[in-house]
Amino acid sequence: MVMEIFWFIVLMVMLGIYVILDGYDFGAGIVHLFFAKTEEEKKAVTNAIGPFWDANEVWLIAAGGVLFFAFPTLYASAFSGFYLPLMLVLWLLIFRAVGLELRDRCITECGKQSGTKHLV
Amino acid sequence: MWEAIWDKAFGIASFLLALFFGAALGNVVRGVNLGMVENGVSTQEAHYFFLALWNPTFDPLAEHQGVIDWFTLLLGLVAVVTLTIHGANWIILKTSTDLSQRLKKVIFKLNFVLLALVVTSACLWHYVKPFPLNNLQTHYWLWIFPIIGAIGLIGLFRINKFKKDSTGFLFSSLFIFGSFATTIASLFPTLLPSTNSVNPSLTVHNVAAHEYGLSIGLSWFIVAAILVVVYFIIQFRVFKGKMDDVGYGEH
Repeated sequence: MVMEIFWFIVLMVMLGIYVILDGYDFGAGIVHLFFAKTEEEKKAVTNAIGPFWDANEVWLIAAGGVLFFAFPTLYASAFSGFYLPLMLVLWLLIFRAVGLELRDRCITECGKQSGTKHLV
Repeated sequence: MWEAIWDKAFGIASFLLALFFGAALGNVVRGVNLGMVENGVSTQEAHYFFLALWNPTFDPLAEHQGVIDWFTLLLGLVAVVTLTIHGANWIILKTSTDLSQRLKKVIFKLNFVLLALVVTSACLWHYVKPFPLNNLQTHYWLWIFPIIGAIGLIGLFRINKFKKDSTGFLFSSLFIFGSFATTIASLFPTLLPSTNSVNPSLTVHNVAAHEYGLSIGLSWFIVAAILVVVYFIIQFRVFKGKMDDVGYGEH
């Protein structure tokens, strides 16, 4: 009984931290999409979240782990019931990260050689 | 061309993630048809369900629900606007370009939109889920959460007058914390409500693992929690202050 409440609080605190921390990463992405016009402004956005965003996303993994450990029935129920949106979220997280990492991979070399070389 | 594609991937994915996480919260608040009840009979096990992405009516109270309906979409919009403000506050905190001044104006305008959306969704919440605030009426101390949220939301209207760059971020964090905690407190002990009367909602008590496992896990958790705290202290020390010269992505 006490343990259930304890792990509930742990889970919710982790989710809350995730929303606040990765929330600003998503928000920065939206600002990047709508409000950052020049290259300098875009750089400001990616610099602001650059050293933080991947650490922040670990909170989602950690919260998923705690959900699996402490409330397995809910984990089973939610992960199969919300299968489609979860897959979408997974793809979006991948595209977000890839977009952030790959945009500067091609600044000088692209004119001279094919970009795919840098992907390998 | 190359950069334009990945800029869009980054931006649009961020936008949709905010929308989907808001919609996810909407799904939890609204509840799901646990056990896939049809005509008063469970067609599946009591805790099993599967949701389509949407149903053609987009009605949250429809028999065959979807992940996206007008209620969850509204909460998705709340999340998008909230996180745009939150992200803009972070950029103001961590950088010092001309963008920061423009973002302050954007935050001020978006805050009116957010206030309208929050009031609307709080009213419609009563339509989708009657008496959502029962917990807050029996435990008065829980009102601390909506009050914290309101302080965050209303405080942000003074964004142009803040002297320190960190104040805005603090207020948007307060709003997110307050509204998130209010939602959870109003649902407690339910974790995923059932929309039918045949199968019970999933609560903290009927989905938890065995007491023994949970107490063993506690000792491991303490070790992990200490490591996480140490990591965060190091991270925020190394990357404190403005990040204008980080040159992220330049290799």
